[in-house]
Amino acid sequence: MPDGFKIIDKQFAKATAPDGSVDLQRLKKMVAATYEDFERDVERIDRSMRLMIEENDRLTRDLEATIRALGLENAGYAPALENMSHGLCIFDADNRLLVANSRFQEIYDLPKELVRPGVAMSRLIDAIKEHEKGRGCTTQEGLGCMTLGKTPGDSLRSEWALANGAIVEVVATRVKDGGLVAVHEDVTEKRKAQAHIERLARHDALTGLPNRATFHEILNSRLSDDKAGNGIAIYYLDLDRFKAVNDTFGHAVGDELLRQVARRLRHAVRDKDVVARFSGDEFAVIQQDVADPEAVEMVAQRVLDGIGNRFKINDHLFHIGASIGVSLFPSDSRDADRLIKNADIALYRAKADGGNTFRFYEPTMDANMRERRSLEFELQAAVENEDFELFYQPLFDLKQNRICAFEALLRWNSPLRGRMAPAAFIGLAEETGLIAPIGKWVLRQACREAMKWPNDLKVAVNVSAKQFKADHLPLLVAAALAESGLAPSRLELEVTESVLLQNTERTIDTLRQLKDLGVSISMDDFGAGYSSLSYLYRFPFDKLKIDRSYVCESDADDNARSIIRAMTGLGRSFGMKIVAEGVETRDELQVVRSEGCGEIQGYLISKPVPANEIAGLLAAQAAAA
Amino acid sequence: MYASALVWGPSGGWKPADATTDDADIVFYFGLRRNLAGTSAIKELRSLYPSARLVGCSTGGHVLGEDVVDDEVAALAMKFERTPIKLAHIKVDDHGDSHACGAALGAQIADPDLSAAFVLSDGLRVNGAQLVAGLVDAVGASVRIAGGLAGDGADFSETLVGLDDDLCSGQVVAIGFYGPAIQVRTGSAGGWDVFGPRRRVTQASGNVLLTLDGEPALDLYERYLGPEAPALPGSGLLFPLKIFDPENPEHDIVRTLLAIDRAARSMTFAGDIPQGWTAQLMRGSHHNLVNGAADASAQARAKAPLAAQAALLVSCIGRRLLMGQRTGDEIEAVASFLGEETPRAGFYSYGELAPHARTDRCELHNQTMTVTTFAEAL
Repeated sequence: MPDGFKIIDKQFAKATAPDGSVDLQRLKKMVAATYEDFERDVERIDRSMRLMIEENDRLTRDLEATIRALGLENAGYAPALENMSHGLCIFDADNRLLVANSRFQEIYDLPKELVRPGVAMSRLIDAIKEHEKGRGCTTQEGLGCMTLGKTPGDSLRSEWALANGAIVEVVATRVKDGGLVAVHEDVTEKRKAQAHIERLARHDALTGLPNRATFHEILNSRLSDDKAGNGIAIYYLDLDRFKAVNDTFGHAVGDELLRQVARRLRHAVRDKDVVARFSGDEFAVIQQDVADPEAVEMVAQRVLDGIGNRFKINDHLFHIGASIGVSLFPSDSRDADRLIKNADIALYRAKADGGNTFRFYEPTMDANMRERRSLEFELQAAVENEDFELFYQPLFDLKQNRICAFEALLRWNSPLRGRMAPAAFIGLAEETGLIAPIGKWVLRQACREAMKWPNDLKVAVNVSAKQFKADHLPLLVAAALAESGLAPSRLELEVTESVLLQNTERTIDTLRQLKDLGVSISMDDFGAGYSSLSYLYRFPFDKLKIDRSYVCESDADDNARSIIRAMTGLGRSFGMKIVAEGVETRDELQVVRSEGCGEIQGYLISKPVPANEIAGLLAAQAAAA
Repeated sequence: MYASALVWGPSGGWKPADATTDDADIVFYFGLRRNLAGTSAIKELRSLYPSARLVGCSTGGHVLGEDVVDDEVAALAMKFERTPIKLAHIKVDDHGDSHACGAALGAQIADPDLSAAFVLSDGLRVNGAQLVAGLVDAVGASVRIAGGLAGDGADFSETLVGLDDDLCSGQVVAIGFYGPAIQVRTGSAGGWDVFGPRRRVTQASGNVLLTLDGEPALDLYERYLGPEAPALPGSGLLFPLKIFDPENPEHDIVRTLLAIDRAARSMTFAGDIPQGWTAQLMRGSHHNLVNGAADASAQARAKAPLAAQAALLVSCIGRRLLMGQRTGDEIEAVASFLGEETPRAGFYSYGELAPHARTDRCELHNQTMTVTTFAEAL
């Protein structure tokens, strides 16, 4: 009998009395209770099963909903991952791939079937290494799995080159569960752009030559490399007349000219030599292994010849030249800065010597340069402080037998150098542009001073070629006249022949404007330079001042006297007054008077005097009369 | 040692189960509350054993031979040759909490020679888990502690624990067994099966459970009990709760229901339900529960070098509710391992105390059959 039915025996025993009689009612009750127990148990099981199934259904629904929700979430991530410009892969703590986007597969050109969840990182690395073709970069480091720290947040950036030329930057980051996230970026274009920017920073955009900073850097390294002392030459080069081309034909032509100059420079030197553009029309060259100065001369001449040849741009032919200063390592200096500076000084000399030539640096150049610099500095200060003074030398009218005018002569009362004549500083003033404020001061000062004189006395003011170049000379003159109240007829402007050498049409035009103002124009130092009769023909000067060199020779030299005669004849023909400059003796006076000069100027009458002595001079003249 | 089982019936008084009439050191008795408090059974027992210590408690039915009975009172008299015993008792009202009760009780019997202790405790006013923890703290983990919480049938209104003439509610009694001669062995097993989904204890405090997976736990029990729901908390014993720390799933504990609060939708269990732990409903099948009881008996037997000379059985009221008339089957199963002749008594309790089968640390169990055997070396 099965265990479950042992109960019947017990119940039967309980219902049986000691006498063997069975209490059937009691037995029935116990058996019924047993059935109830069974039924209750079955009911409990049924209910439990039903509820459990319901619970299971609900949990299954919840689980399905969760899975769906995760799916939706992933559906949101998937396009995001796929639209990333970066390659992305995520590995679990066992270095097995969890997720990778197709960009990752593209970057490394991996087979699609390889890039699937569960694949070991090592297999991906092997596949990538095939593409790497032994380019020397360790891919494992690239993926960042070997050296990446184990702490969440540890991050490793690395970069590596693929066989197809691409450069990939990989940033691997350890995540919380021990896995890693690696982001792969194709930085090929970025690196190219960076290299380009770097090149731009180091090179001149116009010519592609190294710029000044790079030249300096290279020079420094070449100097330290030249332990043997083989010699290095530094050329500092400046184009002659480039500014005129740029001003006249525009920047486009100027730029093209610079490009062609750069090419010719490169051709003129060896490959190992360095050609750089400093700025504007300034170039520089480093020549290595310079055996002797002759080798430098040869190259310098080759450069001059190259640049001296005509340039053809837009059907225009240009002829420019170059000036070159050269300094030598190690004889001139061992310092890069100093060498460049020395070459610059030599260049200045080459330009001062007329251009289209080269000069080696010499220590005296340095002294001259320094002198010039300090003079320039002082002159600048003088302009600011108006440390100038006008002296006046009378012009004497031989017919009226009286002083008819004073020529204003500039003096610089330098606190360091004492009183200086124009010859010592006007050249520098013209070079530095200081001539403009000085010239303006002279004009205004002379006009103001002349206002103190009797009305029949004129004042003569020298105007330099540079002043003429400025467009506004007539305005300056008009302003000086208006400001002082001087009648235009009392102002004479003296110009030299050099004024007429430049840009003649414009000069003539300026002269006419001045003449229209009512001032008179004198030709100064006539016969001293490139005297050309065409000037006299083209512009009606009021006066010709015969250069003193003829006058001082006139009493002894018949030729000089003949020239004076010819000049006075010329003057008469053109209706110009003739002035003899530098008359110092009565003999000279005799000569110039007899040859027909109307006015004289010179020590015989008076040396130049300060303004405060003019009254005395005039008083003495009146007393003598 | 010597042991003898007795039975008291309303008509016939105490009847020794065998002919021995020797005096005893201690007599355990177990009966329904109404039979202990409302009959002369204990008085008659005292007159039978004038010098013995009488210790007993109210039950949810008790063991008589190979059957489970309600109407009688069962007793087991024990006489030791070489084992001193000491009895201690406390009233739970005198102590702040169950842990303190356990500690105070333990302090009374604690001794380097203390070998084992058997504890009978009030079944409703004590947090059994904390009581045991307090006891272990006081006597040391090496002392084998067994026992049970008194029962009250399926009524859950009042439980009684008696020591000599003092039978009352809110009492805990401990019997200490001293010296090397006494060999106390225990076995404890349930045989319940988990069913349904794993749930999370989302709200609980001490031994009061509020929600599982965010839903009132009482709703869940009522749903599963269906027509038996009005019989809560008694019917709740049909579905014990297996709980474990998700970090340590090996160490699972079974908890049984003691009380409910329908208004607060809370359930009070016989031990703590830690919040955050995992919980799973259990149900019993007759067959598996009987196997569980056999297993408990086998455990006690396996550890014993000497044959058991007496046995106290403490089984859970929940098992009886489920097994009904066939509850005797589990007593038979226990007896078959102990030996049919081993004198024994026992009761259906509101909680069992015994060392954990895996950790050997004494704990409160629910829904188990706990077998404690006694043997004294010569």
